Amino acid sequence: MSAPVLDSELACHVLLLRLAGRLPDQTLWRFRDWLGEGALPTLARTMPRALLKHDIDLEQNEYQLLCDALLPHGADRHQVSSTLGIDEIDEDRYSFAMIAPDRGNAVDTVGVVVNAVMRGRPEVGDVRESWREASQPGRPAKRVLLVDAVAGMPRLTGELQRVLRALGDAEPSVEVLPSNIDLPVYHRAALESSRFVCAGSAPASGRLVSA
Amino acid sequence: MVEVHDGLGVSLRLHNLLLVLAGRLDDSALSEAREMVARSRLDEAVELVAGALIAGRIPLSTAEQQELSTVLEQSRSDPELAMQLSIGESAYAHRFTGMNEPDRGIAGALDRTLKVLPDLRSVHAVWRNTPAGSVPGPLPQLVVLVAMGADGHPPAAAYRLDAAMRRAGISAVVEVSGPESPITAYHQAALDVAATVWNADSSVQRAAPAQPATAAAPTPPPPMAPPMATSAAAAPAMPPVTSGSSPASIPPPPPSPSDSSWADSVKAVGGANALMADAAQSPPTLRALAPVKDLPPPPKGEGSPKTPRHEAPKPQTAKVPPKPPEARSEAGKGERPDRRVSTAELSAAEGTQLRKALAEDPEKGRAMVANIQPHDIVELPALDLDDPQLSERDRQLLRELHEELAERERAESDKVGANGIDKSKPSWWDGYSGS
Repeated sequence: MSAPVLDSELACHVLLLRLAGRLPDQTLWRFRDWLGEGALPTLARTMPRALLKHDIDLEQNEYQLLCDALLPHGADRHQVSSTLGIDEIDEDRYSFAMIAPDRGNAVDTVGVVVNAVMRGRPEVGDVRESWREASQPGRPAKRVLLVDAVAGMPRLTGELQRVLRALGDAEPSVEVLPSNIDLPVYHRAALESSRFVCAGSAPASGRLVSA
Repeated sequence: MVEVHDGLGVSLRLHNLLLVLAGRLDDSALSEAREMVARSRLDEAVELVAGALIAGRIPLSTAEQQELSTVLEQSRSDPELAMQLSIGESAYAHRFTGMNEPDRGIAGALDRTLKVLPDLRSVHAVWRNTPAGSVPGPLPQLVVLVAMGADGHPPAAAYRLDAAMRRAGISAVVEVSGPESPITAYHQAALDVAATVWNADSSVQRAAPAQPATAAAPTPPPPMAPPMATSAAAAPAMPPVTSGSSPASIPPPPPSPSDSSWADSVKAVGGANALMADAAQSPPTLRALAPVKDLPPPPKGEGSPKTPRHEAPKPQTAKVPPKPPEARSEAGKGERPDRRVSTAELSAAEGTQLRKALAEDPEKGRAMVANIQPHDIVELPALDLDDPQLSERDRQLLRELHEELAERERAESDKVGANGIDKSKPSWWDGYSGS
C-alpha cells in the first residue's frame, strides 16, 4: 500500500524534518523559514540543487515527498530525479543529552520565553528540548526544540525559529512533529534524551515522552 | 547578445548588491552570502539572497530587482526567482550608536588580517539598535565598516575579516566598500557615529595586541542606549543597471550640487589622489563607504581612536601628495619637526661620523646616506642646529642631509602599499581570478 499523498506544504515540512542532521543547520533553518512563509516556488528552485550540492541522497519515501512538495511549484525534474539515492542512509550520527553539559545551572532565558509563547496554544501539544552534542570537539552543544503539533506546522516552526534567533541562536533547530508520521531516527534519539518545557492545549500524542 | 563574464565581475556585482541590501536583509543572510561570494559559490549566494527577500516579503525597487535578476542569470541560477520578489518602496529606519565601545577588541582580532589584506584604508565599528530583515538576530548588532582602496577585493576582504572576528568570538556583520561601492543611507548613518578601530595612515600607532577571545568581545550597550544616528530609510542605492554590463561599466552620473563640499575638500588637499577624486565626482551611490582619511594621530588624551565620533568623518585623501619644491622651501622650518620624527635613527657615533664626512667631503657624506637601506630608515634624530660646535657650513650640510633623507623616505613610502605590500612586486592578488 502506498503512502498517503500529502499536500505540498506538509510534504515539504515532513521532508525538512527528515533532513534534520543531514542538511547543514545553516541551510535547514532557512528552508524551514521560507516554507513557513509559504515560499514553495522559491524552495522549488533552490532545494533540489542544495541537496545535490551537499551530496544528500534521499530514500524512496523522501524522494516521493520531494516530488509531491516541489514539482507542482516548478522544480527542475532533472535535479529532483538526481536526488534519489540507492544506498541505505546512516541516520544515527548524533548523540543527545537532556541537559547541556556546558550550561550547568545557568539561567535559561530561551526556556522561559518558549514557555511564555507556547503554553496553552491550541495547536500545540507537548514541548520538550534536548541538546545535540557537537560533532566537532570544542563546539558547544546545540539546543533542539521538539514540539508536538496538530496543525500549522510550517508556520509554527518559522515562528519559533524567529524567537530563538532573536534570543541569540543563529541557526535554531526547531522540530515541529505532526502526529501522523513515523519519527526519523534523529528525532527518536532526541526524544529519548529530552526534558519537558511546557504544554499547549492540544491533546498530547504521547510520543514526546522520554524513555 | 550573450556577453562573457568573468567571475570577478559577477562577484563584485553581487557584493555591491549585498551592500545595498544591508539593513533590509537579515545579518546572517548577508554574512553567509558574502562567504559564499568569496568562495565563488555565487549561485548559492544569490539564491540565498533571493529566497530571503521573497520569503521575508522585503520590497525592492525595480532597478534592484533587475540587478538581482541579472546576477541570478550570470551566476547560472534561475532568473525566474527575481519575478517572485516584492516591488515597492522600502522605509527602514535604523538607529546606531557609537557608545559602549563598539570597537573593543576588534583591532586585536583583526591584527593579522589587517596586515595581510591589500589596500585596506579604514575600519570603523558601531552598534545597531534596530532589527534587520524578517528573521533578525539578537540586538544590539555590531556593524563593522571597512573601506578599501582600488587594489583590494571587497568580497574576499569581507569574508576574511568576518572570519577573523568570529575566531575571536566577536559576532558582527562586516560591510566592506571599495571605491566604486554603493553607499546607502544605512551606511552613512552608521558611519556618522561609528568609532574608529583602525586607519591605514596611523596603523603603527593603533595596532593593538591580540587579546584572548573572551576578553576581546565588545560588550553590547544596554538595550535602551540612546540612539546617536538614524538612517531614515535604506534608500535604493542601486546604480543604473545596464543588462549584461559589469559594475565598472556603469557610467557615473554627473555630481550633484550636494556633493560639492565633499569634492571641494578632496581638491583642497591636492586633488592628486585619483581614487578619491573619482569617488568625489561619483554620485552618492557610487562612493566608498568611508572617506579615506589622512588625519594625523590624535594627541594623547584627546580624540583617542576608541572615542566614538559623533559627527560624520570629513573626507580627505589617503596620502597627501608631495609638495612641489617651491612649496617645500616656503614651508620652511614649520615642516621640519614633523619630518624628523619619521625619518632615520642614527646613533650618536654615526651622527658624528656623518657630520665629519660631510664637513670633509659633501659627496662622501651623500654616499653614506645612499647606503642606508629602506628598512634601516626608522627615525631621524632631532636636527640640532644649535650645537655650538657646528659651523654655518655644517648646519647647511645637515639641513641638506635631512632634506635628502626625507625625500628618500617619501619615495620609499610611495612604493610600499598601505599594508606593507610592496607595489613593485607582483602579489597573489594579481593572480586572483575570482571565479
